[in-house]
Parts: sequence; C-alpha cells; structure tokens
Amino acid sequence: MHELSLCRNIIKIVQDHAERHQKKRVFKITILIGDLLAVDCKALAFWFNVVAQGTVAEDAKLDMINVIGTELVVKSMEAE
Amino acid sequence: MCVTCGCNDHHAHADVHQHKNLSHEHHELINIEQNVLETNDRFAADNRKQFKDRSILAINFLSSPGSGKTSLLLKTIQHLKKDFAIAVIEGDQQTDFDAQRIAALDIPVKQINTGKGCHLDAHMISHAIDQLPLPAHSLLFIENVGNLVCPALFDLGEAFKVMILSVTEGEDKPLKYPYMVRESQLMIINKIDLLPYVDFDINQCIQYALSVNPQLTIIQTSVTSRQGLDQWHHWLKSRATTAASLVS
Repeated sequence: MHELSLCRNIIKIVQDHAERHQKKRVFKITILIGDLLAVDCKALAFWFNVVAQGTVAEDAKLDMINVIGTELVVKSMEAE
Repeated sequence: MCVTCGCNDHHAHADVHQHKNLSHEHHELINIEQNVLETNDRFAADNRKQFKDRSILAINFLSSPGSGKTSLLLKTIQHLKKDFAIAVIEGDQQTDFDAQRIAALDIPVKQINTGKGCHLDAHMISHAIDQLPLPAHSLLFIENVGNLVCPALFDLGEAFKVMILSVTEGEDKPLKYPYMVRESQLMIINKIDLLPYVDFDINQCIQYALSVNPQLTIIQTSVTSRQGLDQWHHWLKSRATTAASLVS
C-alpha cells in the first residue's frame, strides 16, 4: 500500500522537472530501487498507472532497476 | 531478456508506453537523481532537530494490529508520568479510540487518522508536534498505524524505532517481515503470559529476529502479568536520560 504514496512522490518529482525543463510529455522514467527496502515493483507499477493519469507522465513507461542497498531514487526521465 | 524493451530481467514495467508515432529522437533525457522520499526525509530531519534542540526523546512504536501496543503504552505512561512530561501521537486509519484511552490518563494526545493511508509520515508528525505541549526533556510516544510493512520505510525523526510482536502472532514473523526488524533498535515480545496456551517457540523467534538484525535488543513483556516491564522501563529511562544529557 505504501507504494501509492511513493508513486505520488515520483509523479511530483517528475512534474517539477517537466515544468522546469518546459516539457509537455514524459515517455520514460527510470527509478532505482534498493533490495533492502520493502518496495514491491508490481505494486509500484500498478499504482504508477493510477497516479500518472491526467499528468505529464500518463503515457510514460516506468523503468525500475533493482540495485543493492537502500536507495530509492528517480534517476532520469525522457521527455519532450 | 525482457520482451518489453530488451533490457535485462531485473527490470519491471508499468506497461503503458505507447509512443504514439513519435520516435526516440524527440525525447530529451533529463537527469534527475532525486530521492523519492526526499520530502519525507526533509520533514523527518526537521522533526529530529526540534527533538534534539529540546532534548525530547521520540519513540516510534511499530507492530501489527492487536499486538498490545496501546495497552503497553498505557502501562508505561502510568509508570513514568510522575517523572517525565509525556505526549502521545496516535496513528490509526479510523477512530480516536486509542487517543481516548491515552487522554483518560491526563496525557496530551493527538490522534492522526490516515484514512486510506497505511503509515504515518514525517509531515503528519511535524503538524502534530505543533499542536502538542512538548516541554524540554519530555517523552514523545508515536504509535504508528498497526502494520508490519509500510511504516518501516518512513522516517519520522524519531530517536528509536521499537517493534512490538505478540506471542499470538507466530514465531516466524521476524523472517516474514524482515524490513521492520532491520529498521528497529528494540523488539518487544509481548503477551508472554499467554505462552502456555499458544504454539509459539520464543527461542526460535529470537533467533530469527537476530538473524535479520544482530544489533537488535529484545525484551519479553506481559502487560497483564507485568513480567519484563521493569526491563522495558529501564531501557526507556536510560535513553531518556541520555537524550536529556545531550542538551547544553
């Protein structure tokens, strides 16, 4: 369930950066997820689709890369 | 190899990307490198600074629903209220039942209802502490939403996370919910007066918990028979004294 609030944070970060770079649409968001965190990728993907609706990221692919440790980072995004 | 984009198997996808006749050349790659929990962690750092500046010991209590958190808290408050100023933040999805039980002891309490949310976050705590009388050297008990998963991820600015597990829950829980165990400094095994009536291997439970977090302190308690409460109060008082000595 906490993946919902994580997705809200991810979308907020993406919206801020889209605005800063004057981008209208985001196509891909890459995030790093540490294996020591209680974060479930499938739940994150599910909630991402829900939260992204109506935002610049509604067509975006969420690319989740598992890493070692406790990192939880929005690494980059592709936008136009 | 992943068939969605050709990346390796460690990837997972929210598969909604349609491209809509646009080629990749139109896309600009923007580097972000931002912690997803940055906002929470910033509030947590502010809370922690406030606690430190005022020499307040804040404890974040974590457990599944029904482990006896509130009952243990009530007993603890009764024991310590003559020596310490105490305030409580109660987190539940609904109702203020727990806050009413605390308020009956004449202790300032703030109930946070998270609604559909499954955990407290540092922003909620920052508002709650603005509304609570918290003199220097006081104890702040934060009873998180009953949930062994989600609250582990959210730093509230507390000095210690204390996990409570009751013997009716099964000795395998430390392995089933390792994130919570790894984040906690103390685990209380509660309701040990019920040990003769339940199939719970306490030594196995302790072994599992220490295998996840070798630094974990473990105290066994029963609120009903009062077993172990002295040890728990001693643990708490020694941390409170240390917090007080940090103030200059």
